[in-house]
Amino acid sequence: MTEPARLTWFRGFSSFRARVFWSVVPIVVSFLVFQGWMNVREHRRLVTEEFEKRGQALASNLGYASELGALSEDLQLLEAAMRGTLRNPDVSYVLIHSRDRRVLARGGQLKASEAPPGDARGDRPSTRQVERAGQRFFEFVSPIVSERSQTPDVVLLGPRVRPRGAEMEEVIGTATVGLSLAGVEAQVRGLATLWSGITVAFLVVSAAVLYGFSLRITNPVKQLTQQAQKIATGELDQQIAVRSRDEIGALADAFNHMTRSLRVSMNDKERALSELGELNRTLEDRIRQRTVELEVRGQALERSLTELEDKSRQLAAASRHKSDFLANVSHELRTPMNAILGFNEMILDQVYGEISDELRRPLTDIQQSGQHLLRLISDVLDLSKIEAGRMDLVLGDYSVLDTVTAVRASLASLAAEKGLEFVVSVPAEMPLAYGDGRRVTQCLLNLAGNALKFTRQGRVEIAVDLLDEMLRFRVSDTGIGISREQIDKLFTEFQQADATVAREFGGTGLGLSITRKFVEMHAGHVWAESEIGKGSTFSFSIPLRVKGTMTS
Amino acid sequence: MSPKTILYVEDNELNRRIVRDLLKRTSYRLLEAPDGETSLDIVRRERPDLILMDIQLPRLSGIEVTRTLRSEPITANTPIIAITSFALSGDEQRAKEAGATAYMAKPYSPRDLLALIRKLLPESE
Repeated sequence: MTEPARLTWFRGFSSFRARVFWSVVPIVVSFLVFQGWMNVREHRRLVTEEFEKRGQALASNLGYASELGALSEDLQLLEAAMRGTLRNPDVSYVLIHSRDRRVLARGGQLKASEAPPGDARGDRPSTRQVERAGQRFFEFVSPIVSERSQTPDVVLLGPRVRPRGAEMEEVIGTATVGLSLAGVEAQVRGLATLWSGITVAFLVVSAAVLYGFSLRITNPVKQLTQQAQKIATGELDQQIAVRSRDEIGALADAFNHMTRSLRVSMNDKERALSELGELNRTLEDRIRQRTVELEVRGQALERSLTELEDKSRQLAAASRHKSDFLANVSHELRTPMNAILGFNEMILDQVYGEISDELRRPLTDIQQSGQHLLRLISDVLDLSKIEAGRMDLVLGDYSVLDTVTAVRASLASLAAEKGLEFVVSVPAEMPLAYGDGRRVTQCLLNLAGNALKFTRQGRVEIAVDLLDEMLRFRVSDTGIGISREQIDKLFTEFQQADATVAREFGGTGLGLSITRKFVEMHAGHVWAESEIGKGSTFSFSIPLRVKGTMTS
Repeated sequence: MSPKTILYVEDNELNRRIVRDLLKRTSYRLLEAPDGETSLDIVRRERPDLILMDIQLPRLSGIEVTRTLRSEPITANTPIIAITSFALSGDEQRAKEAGATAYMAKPYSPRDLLALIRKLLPESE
């Protein structure tokens, strides 16, 4: 704890104490002083009143007692009267004056020289304060009254029985009684002293009580503060001794409770923190380990990915190269093929002169083989294009009837050669179709070509119908037929139902694959039904009007 | 009456010979051009009645030559038969757009080609 903090702290509490002190003490003091003053005053009044009454009574009595003595101016009688009065301890002195203010007798502590002359107003009782020889006295004067016709008996029985207003009485002198004020003043002084003592004692006691009281408040607060300071610095094993059952005690209780809770929670926190720290360390280790592993794996993966990407790029490039190569090759093949087939056809057409029948046969074989070779080249090119994703449909309107008629025209000679019946049927009211007419023709040509190829006798029929905006092309034959298992394989590339079949009937087996792909590019599908020995029906259906652009 | 003139634009000698042999027995007069530039010169000089245009030509392609020919008043209405190398490559579409009258896919049948020529340009009697 720093020094300024301590100072501030003390000042705070002393000012609190001072506040309590200075707010209570003046009230107490002023109350006590006021009360004391009032008390003394009242007491003095009462005492003085009593004193005066007594003084009056004494003076009056002396007046009566001195009547005879004053009448006769007999000193002995007067002294006898005075003796009774002087017996009273408060009486300092007595004086008897005659009517003409002469001193008839005097008694008590009053020297002859000091005896004053009689009062001018001596015909009625009076009271006055006088100072004689440095002392203050209460002087009571009472007239001495004489009744001319009275008997001593009457005098003794008192003046009250006398009828009022009777012109029989006469003031013959005055009786003066001097009472010392010392007794009264001493009494008042004593009282004042007592009150002062009480006040001081009260003050002391109340100050002490106040101090104790403020201590009872400030001490626990002080403790609380110290405690809080300690707790602030981390000392949580502190407890405040709870002394009272009041708010302060409750506060201390609450504080202790808080400290305990704090300690518990601090302990919990510390434990949790240490656990957390431990966990963190473990976790960090594991993370580091894992990171290293992951990095290693990541690098390996990256390498693999890079390799894969390279491979994929190479593959794509290779595929492109293959496709480009095939396209080029097929183009390059076309020039010599064009020459071979062109010249051969012209020979057959006898452009160069007549040819013998013997020569016609091999020349025809050359022509057919050449055509076959050309179809193969074409198929390979198409397929490679499809595989490379470079095959696009050229969409446009086309006539279904024209398509079928073109197929029939290009295959009619083949059917005629084999002696097969070749019929087509297209509904009369067929709307224009939308799609790649050339590819549809190619598909139909493939299916019909196959049908003619695999049929030795009977007929081949192409039938078209339109149902729910779907065009269905059917090519049925009375050929050798295919088994169910073989049908599934049919539409896969380079698959023919039987290797021997290929030998007998020729073909690449590419036609059906290409057909399937073109049909699928038209959002259609292709299927086959067959019975061994009875024939087959190959069908495909495509939308009458294809939507959007289709690519492979 | 002078014979009708056909210009064959083709860079391959063998192919040119096919058409040369094919037309030998006909009354058509055949002019040959090995490339597009030469063909344009011949066209301006000789004003052929029909043009056989191979699409795959070195440098200037048959499509471009066809387009040029169609833009010139002399040849704006001359029949042009485009010889496309791929039957299904879309060349015939492009040839049509460039202004070709008809097309023939390579390899073509000389018989069919002659029939097409005769259809577009009947031989003078």
